[in-house]
Amino acid sequence: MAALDCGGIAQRAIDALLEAGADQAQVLVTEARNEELNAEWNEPSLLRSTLEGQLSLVALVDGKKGVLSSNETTPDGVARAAKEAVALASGSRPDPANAIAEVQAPASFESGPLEPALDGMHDRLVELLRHRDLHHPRTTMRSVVVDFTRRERVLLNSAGVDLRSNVGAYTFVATFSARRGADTSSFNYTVARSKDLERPVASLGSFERLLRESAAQLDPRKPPEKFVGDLVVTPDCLGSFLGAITGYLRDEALISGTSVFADRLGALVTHPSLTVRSAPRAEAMAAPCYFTGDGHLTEDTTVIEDGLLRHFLLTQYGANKTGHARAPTDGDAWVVDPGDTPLDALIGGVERGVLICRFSGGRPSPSGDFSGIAKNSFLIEGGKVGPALSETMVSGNLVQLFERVAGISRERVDFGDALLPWVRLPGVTIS
Amino acid sequence: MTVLDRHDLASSADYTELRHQRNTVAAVALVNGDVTSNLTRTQGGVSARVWHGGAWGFASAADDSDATVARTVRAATDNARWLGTRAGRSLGALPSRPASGAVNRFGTARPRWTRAQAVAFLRELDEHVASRYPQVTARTIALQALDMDKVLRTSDGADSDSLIPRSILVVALTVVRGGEPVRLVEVHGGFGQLEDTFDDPRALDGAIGEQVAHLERKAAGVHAQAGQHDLILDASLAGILAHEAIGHTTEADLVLGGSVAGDRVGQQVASELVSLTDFAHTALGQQCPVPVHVDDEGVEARDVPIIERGVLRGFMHSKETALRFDVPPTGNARAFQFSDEPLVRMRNTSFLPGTSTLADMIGSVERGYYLMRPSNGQADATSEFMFGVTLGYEIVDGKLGAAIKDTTISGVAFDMLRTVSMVSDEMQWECGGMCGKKQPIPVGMGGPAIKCRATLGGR
Repeated sequence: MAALDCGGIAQRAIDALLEAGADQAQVLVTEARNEELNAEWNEPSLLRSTLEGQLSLVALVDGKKGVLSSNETTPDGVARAAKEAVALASGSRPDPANAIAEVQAPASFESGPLEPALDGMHDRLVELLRHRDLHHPRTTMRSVVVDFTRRERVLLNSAGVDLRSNVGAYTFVATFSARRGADTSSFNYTVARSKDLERPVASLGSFERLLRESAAQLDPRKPPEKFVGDLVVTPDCLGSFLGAITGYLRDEALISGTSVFADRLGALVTHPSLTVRSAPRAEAMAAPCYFTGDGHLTEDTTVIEDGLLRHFLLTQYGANKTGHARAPTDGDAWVVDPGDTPLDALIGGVERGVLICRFSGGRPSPSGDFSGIAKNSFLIEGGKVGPALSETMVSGNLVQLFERVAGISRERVDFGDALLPWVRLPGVTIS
Repeated sequence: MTVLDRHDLASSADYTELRHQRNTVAAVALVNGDVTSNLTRTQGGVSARVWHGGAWGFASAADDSDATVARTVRAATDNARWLGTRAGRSLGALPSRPASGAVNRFGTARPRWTRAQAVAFLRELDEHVASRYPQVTARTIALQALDMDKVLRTSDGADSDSLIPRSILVVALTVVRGGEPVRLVEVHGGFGQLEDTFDDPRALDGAIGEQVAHLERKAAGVHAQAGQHDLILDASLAGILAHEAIGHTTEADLVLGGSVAGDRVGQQVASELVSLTDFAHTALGQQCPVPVHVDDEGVEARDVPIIERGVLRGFMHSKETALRFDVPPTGNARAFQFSDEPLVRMRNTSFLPGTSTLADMIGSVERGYYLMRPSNGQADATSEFMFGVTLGYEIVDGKLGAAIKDTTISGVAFDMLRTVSMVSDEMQWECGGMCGKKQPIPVGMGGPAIKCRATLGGR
């Protein structure tokens, strides 16, 4: 299937938006090519190929903003989309915070493979399924996806911004659970990304550890009683906790005034041992992101440094609205600095608690209160990892938990889109 | 005649389906009166899926010219052959129950709203909240509409043309108490396009007033006590229990993946008061929130009785899982975007009503909780479920007490459903969220109020 001329389409869209009456215009054109090999129930099942262009048009009319997104990239489709975007803006309300990106030097980037190695993808998929047969026979691969995606992006605006990137990467996803007779373990899943197919899938991210633990979760126990103890949060689970905490640093929470961190910039918001970076260009990222969705070059950004809040995760609109600085990142690609405690010692220091591998819970409240099930998790007693747990609820306040970090592991897991350690958080209600 | 009709699907492949689909999303959001989001998103194109040699091939493209359609069918066929040759599977022929000539379009007959009308609707609502309830410190009010417009042809003779719309209004209000923000979100609407779902913003005055009253009580509320409790689940919350606790566990692809439901067909898995069905399009004489007459494999959709009087009866199927179970397909194969393959998905999953009244149910609890509004949820192969609860009250000696802060309910469905001791005579549908399973998809979730015993998070 023919590739799109993303730059030509973007320029045509800018012209069409201005002609349709936009005062200012910004356009992002994306072409995504995707080859996806799927396995279900331990067998290859589906090969899926998609190629799709995507237009995202921003029109500003008298300070009013409209956004039109469409996958019609023909000249007629672009012209219709431009008129619709201007109509959307005209029907809105003016807001002085609405803006397009200010002019920057043109920049173009390329990363990773631009074509899929389909035979290699198939070999890695089959190899993983054989690995399961040999080493984890009780585990059923509910689904495995080996995906290649190349995404070409061109962002232009009427102020002269011209940013382009072409990024390809492989993504590996597995969902699985173990079975013995009538017993079933909780399902688990993991995701890893890579620029290449050089390593077996089982060696990436947490694949091997989680597959091994799956069978160990066939004989879970309920927690012996309600108690207050420590969580040792695995890298697999840390991402979901970070997602909740960093939600308080984003546009909606800060614009609406509901963020618990609203007036904490520069203040200590977590334990001083914690440093959290959003690193969209880091070497560890299989699919680097070179510019934000609202048209600014990205930079690796330290969000929390030694516990101090250094940066909100505001878009340009959010920055204009709140008076704080815009973040040079979309707020992902998380890297948490390692600690100096070996993982064994981190767990060894816990008198009573839970090694939490997956959190399945309600969204934390604006104040940070949370509760949910510790899935695929294990009891820790006397510094040792004990039996797998079932029906185990953990409750507490996320903001307060991160103020009490009691240790960070030296070891980290490289997921290809995040680099995260194990973190010990005391003071959680476990029931 | 659509572009699909010009293509002969009888090929050397075992089975071919061809879908032309366009999803249109309209979304407007106001935060404290400012328009923070104002967008329309359309995703349209053609996809083909081919079954050959026991493997699937899929391809899609964003335009619908004859050449593109032909190329897409060819690419899907090539993919099926490529994988089929390597996979070496032989599963036999897919079962067939094609729906022919099905037209099910639920678009509005009214003039469509302009964006200015949608913004004006939200502004009137927002200004009412701001002026009437000054204690509310933050307001997010958003309209979200999704139209899923599909034309489908399959090589076993199905043809279907459908438009299934959904429109929801999200009202998220926050108050600050003791320096701590407390939020309550309500979702209104469901089936239908905006013009058929919302009319006068003032019609929501009563609901907004109730929301603010609940929110103020929640701000002054207490943490639930962590542990097992007697619970009354309101009808507005029973649907997510049906969806998470039982629905996912009885999707046939999850059963093949090891779900505990696999061994329990014909067994008593719940109290005799519990009956649960995944309805295709009509339940108890009323149209469901997500009416699916024909699924995305062209199968005429039928209701799936999952639990009858506590006994597990069956599973939801696609053509492939039906082949593997040697049963007829049920019409549960659904795809979200044109570029997505159909997966086994729920449609409208609901407990059936009983004979108790909500007042009697609350009155029967000595110490426990009345839970009223859910947030997100998740299921498991073990039938252990959880979902967030954003509104609830203590029950003390049969009477409602203090409101509780956000919490989470969990349990093992096949244990918890045995504890169901009362089911109310009124049921309610919810259709505000998206079910996530590789792809998102709108689903209906319904049920009456239920008395049961389960675990709550808290202090």
